[in-house]
Amino acid sequence: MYLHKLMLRSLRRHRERGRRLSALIALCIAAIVFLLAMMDSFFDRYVKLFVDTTTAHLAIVHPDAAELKRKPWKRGAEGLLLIEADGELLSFLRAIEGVEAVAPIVRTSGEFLVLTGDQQGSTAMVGIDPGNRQRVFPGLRTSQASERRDPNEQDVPVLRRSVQFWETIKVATDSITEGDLRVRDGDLAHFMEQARAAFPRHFSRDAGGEKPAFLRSLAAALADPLLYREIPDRYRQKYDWRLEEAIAAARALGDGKEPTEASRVRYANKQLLSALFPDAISPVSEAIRLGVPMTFQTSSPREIKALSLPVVIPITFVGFAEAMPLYGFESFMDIGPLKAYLELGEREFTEIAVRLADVGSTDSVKARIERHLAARGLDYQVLDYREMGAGYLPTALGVKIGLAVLAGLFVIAAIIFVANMILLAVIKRRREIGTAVALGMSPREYALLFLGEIFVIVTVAWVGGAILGSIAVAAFAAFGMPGVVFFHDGLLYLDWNARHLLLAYLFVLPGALLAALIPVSRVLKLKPVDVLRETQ
Amino acid sequence: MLSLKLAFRNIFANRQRSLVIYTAMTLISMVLFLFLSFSDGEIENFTQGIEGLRTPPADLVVSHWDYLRAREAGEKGESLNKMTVSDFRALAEKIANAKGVEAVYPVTVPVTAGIYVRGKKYKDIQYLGVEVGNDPHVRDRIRITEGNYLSGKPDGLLLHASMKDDLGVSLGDAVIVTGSTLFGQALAEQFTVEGFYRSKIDLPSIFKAIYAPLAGYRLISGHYENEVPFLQADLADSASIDSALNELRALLGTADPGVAIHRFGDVHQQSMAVYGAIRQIIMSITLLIVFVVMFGVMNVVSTNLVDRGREIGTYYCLGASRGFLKRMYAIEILLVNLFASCTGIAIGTLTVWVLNGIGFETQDVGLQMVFGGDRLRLVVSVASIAWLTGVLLLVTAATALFSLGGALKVSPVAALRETRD
Repeated sequence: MYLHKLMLRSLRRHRERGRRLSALIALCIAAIVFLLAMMDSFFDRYVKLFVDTTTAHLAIVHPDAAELKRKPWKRGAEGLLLIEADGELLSFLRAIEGVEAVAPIVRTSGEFLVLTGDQQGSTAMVGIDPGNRQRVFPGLRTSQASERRDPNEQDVPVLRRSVQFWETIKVATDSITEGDLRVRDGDLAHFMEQARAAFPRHFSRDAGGEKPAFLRSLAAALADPLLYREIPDRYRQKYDWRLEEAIAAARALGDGKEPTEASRVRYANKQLLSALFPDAISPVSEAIRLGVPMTFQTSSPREIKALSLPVVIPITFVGFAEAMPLYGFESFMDIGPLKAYLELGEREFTEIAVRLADVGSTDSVKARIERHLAARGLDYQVLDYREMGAGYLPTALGVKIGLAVLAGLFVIAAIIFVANMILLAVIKRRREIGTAVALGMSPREYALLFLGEIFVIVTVAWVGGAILGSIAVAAFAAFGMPGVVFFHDGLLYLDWNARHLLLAYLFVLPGALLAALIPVSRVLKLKPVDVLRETQ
Repeated sequence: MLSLKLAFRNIFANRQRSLVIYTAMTLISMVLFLFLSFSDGEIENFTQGIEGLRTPPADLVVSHWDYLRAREAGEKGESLNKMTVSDFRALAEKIANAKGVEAVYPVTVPVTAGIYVRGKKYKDIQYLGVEVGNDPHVRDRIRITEGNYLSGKPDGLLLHASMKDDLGVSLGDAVIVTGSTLFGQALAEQFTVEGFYRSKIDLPSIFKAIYAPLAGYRLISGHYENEVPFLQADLADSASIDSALNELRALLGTADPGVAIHRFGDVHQQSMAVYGAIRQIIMSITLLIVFVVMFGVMNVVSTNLVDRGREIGTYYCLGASRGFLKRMYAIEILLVNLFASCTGIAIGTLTVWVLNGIGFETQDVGLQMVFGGDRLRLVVSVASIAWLTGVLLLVTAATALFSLGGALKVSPVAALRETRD
């Protein structure tokens, strides 16, 4: 009992040193709590994002497709590996306890093509019932105008994968600068002459032959909503569909009774001029826009020859779907029209995605489905999200290990600082120790006293560090940690967990006590006569 | 000078205390150094491995005169593919004769097409061309796992080794390259498999790449004879890029006005989105660690100085000014931190050598993605050392600024006291 009293008195006497040590350990504990929270949040949220946007918890696939799902970097031959899912199988899946949603899917890949024939990106196309999509993939972020389909409309609505940075158009589409000109020197002079001849009202010879004056005239011409009316007939004697399209677009704006934005007129006129003078003005790139008719081109699901005709589906983008940032290349369309264009049977699908209410039941539900398939004599394979995650799990694991090492570094730093403080304390309190030992206290008891002090200091520091760390975690839980490009908007939201506080305590306390043992062991070897000497 | 001398003496006079800060800072700088080396290694693996194969780094690039403008103007597909260097062999010869030029070689753009093998068709294969005999940028980066390197026959193909299993294709097999050329023409050409390769730094994103000799590549891409997308030039180490660039601009201006010469970085920006992001995360975490460590060091230093009250008092008694003492103790902290960071970096460098020497290789594709290649590579870079030393100097400056002021408020009387506690 008297040891407790002595310990409290000693803590009071050396409170300045104790406070410093406590603040330092609190800071280390706060950092450990923060890093542990970041480590677990990154891993858990990354896996969850993948499950919620790409794989669901389970997928039933053709046996040959299983290997490709497990190893997405492997190449599969063209043609779809189909499974048959009848009503009985779907009903069974939906009736399993813990299953939240079941969706038969047709997954294929192909390219988007604009009407000019230019490619506008490749994609994995997921055909799924729109009503089921968000239930199976609740993590998908969509921005959409409307997916309702007009029965008279030929184009199938598609939620396009999010636009990547290399797909954005970085040039102004409503102005012509020097950078848009494909000609130089003599060719430039020839083009200027052509333009003057075609549009004498806009390109006056009096304006001078200088390039800057010519570019100013071009800019003025772009703003004229009725520019298309001035195109000389000789340019239209030979049919050019690009020019006719551009004229039609410019006419629709120029003759419109309602006021039109000036930038749209300039855009249409830029298209017009580049169609008129294709050798002189760079074509205006087709921006990725909603509501524009285009096509999705994929290979035939069955007939594979060296040269076989692709399946071409008229589509229009009705919105954007963001799955996994960096790796998400899935676009979505209604499974009905996709199957119709691919001429698949009513029961034919490439997979059935199963979403569970609780990730913990994955193994049991998987086993149940496997038993059912075996009983029906079907050789389809059931894959869980871990098997489908070989492409992304190592990234999450790598980040987790890195953060764990850093948390360990803080534990070691805390231990070193504790060792330093105790070392100093032992040096400074030699006379005090000597007096206590001379008065009958055993060195072992004094060592216990030291360890007790450390215990109190670490515990107090833990409370402070836990509060500080929790505040930091809470801040990032509310606002997200910026710059983590693996997540939507580059924000990682941290999750607070009491386990992290406990772990921080369990890492630091034993470490601190062990670190204290080194200097304290000196106390055990001390003789009163040595420590009562004047100074060291 | 006196302050430096005393600071140095004090480090050894208080060696136990100095040792604690030294050990902590050594450990921290070593771990941070290893993290940065890992990140540097990932990027090095990626740029020298996959990006190196796709876009071999060079000093200078010759392109069509309008290529850069057209690309900036958003032109793509066919209109950009048309912008090539024609009559490249004659041009390469002229460039090779210029002062300081070590090598000139043609570089192609990947053509995405299919391959028809044993009744099955695989799409999204990328075909690249090499001028056999003038291809160190490819040969130095790959190793042949089976068969031979390209013989130069127009119908020879070199496939990535993973295709052997994935496509079930063997040496000598006749395969059909199918799809469309860069200019939209239908394509169905028969080739023969001459060999299989692996990148010396392999990564799944190269698994789809097939090499063909230039003559074969032209059948796939649709280019004319003697036409390539780019010519690249490597300069001798001693040559100045600026002067070589000016000389070659003048030369090409008269030899072929249809081309332009640029620095490599103006034409190609290597894509490192993921690894760049990891690097940024590591740098941010480094700062976080340094921030916490800074408090630790400040704490330890101020505690040490409190315990050295008599020493400080004695200096005052001997006539030392506050400024002198501040300078002296700041130098002491600086020396300890600097020694520690040097030791940390030295141990880190040693660890890097050992780990690189062991050569940890993996066939696990997931780990390959993490490493940026099929082997763990750690790289010692000047930028990382500068960053690390810089942040440790920041720790020193902050420690000197915030700890010394209060700790030096000691009365000279303290020196005369027996003990402080």
